[in-house]
Amino acid sequence: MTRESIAETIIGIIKEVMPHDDCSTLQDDDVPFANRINMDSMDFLDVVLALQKKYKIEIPDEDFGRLRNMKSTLDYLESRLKA
Amino acid sequence: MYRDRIVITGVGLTAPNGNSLSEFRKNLIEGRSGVSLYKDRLMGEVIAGVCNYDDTKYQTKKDIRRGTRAASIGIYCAHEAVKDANIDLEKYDKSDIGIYVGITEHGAAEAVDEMFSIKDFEYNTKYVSHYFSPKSIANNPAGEVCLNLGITGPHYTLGAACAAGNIGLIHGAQMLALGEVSLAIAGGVSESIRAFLSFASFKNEGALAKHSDPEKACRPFDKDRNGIVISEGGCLFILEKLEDALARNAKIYAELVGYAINTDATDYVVPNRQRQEQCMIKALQRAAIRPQDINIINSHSTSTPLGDRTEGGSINSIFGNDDSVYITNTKSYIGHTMGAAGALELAGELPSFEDDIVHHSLNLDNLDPNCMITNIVRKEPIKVNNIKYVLNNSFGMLGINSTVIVRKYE
Repeated sequence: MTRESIAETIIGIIKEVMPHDDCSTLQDDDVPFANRINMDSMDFLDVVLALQKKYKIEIPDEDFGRLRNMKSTLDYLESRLKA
Repeated sequence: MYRDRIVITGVGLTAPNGNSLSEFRKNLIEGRSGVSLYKDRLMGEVIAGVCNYDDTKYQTKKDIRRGTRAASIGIYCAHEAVKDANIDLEKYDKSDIGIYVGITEHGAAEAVDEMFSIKDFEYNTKYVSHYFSPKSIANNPAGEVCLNLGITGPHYTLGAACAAGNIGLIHGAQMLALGEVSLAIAGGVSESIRAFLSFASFKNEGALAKHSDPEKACRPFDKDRNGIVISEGGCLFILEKLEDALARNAKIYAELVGYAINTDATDYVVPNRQRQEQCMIKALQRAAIRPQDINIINSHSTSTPLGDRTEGGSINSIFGNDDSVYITNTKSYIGHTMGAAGALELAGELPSFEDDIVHHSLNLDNLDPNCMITNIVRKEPIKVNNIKYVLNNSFGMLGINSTVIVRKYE
């Protein structure tokens, strides 16, 4: 599983959760999702739940802070999926 | 009966055979059914009434995903009712508007969806959506309407089994009469087809309709009737005090002149003829009219063997000698829209005050004499001179009965 394919999955999930937002601006950097798309706390929880289901992993609440931008989310998922 | 006279000035609805009052009424007059086959995840193909309104007309896809079908139906109906009443909500004090939505049940569909969503994860509760709570709470169908329309007055649902549509309307009128609100958006909604439990429960009770042709499955008072058709739908009315409606030169569909609600207190599911009679008589007394003053009875008529026999008997005992009282029903067209039924079925009769037509009951090939119904409209609509009063019955499980009487406004 490549970093690029994980990024595609994340963007696909965000598009499903937020069908009216333009996700083309999301990049592998540390700009918070909420700065680029209209993601509120409920949307964020939806994305986290979908990621857990997609990758069949449990993401503990204390790790949520690592999922606020694309770069840290990818770093986090890469390490979890390798484990 | 009331300190103030309460009138209906707007109608918003979605039914399996129409997404506006004009379309719905046209299909009732033309005998067009809305019952079809519906695929349930567990039950497979079942006979049901499914609505096809445009759910993105008043909601974003995101809001639809966050919310429930019942609320989506409610939001559609509320917007359509406001539009129909020619009301500009921005000119109203939104804290002075009440949302009262009758429901048969709420939460079953949401629970079923959630169970399916965690099934592939060995029912690990970690995967339960955080949206389950706001979706499944009993006030959801009314609360989402407020969220969508920015209404800050009271909102809640009224759980009243299959009498709920009538009771939503009655409650809205009561709150207006009490001065709790100056405008009420009231009626009922149902999303019951979204939970296999409804189909399974009625089937296991021997009360779910079976027929090779879905459109012929719901056949109230027919000898071959064998159960109900479960449907979704919704209808919300704009209710106002007469003086407010007149002050803004509103179109007035009808005046609510009588109603009654009572309880059998005899069984969980078996209806009680005597209590139904008492309910209708009380509504007539409150309207201060005689049985023969009624022009149209829209019967509850679930199409179950016992339900129709009981209601036929109760209607016959009060109206049996009056040839001028015409009986019809809506379920033969759209099935049982549960929490919406009372409101939708009344709505379909309101245009009769203008066109003086009584639509017929579908699928009534062989009238069951045991039902003792004598003056039911069959085969085709009939023209009646000067329709003035409509009586609408809605009864439900745990023995809840309701009757609403509306009068033509002249």
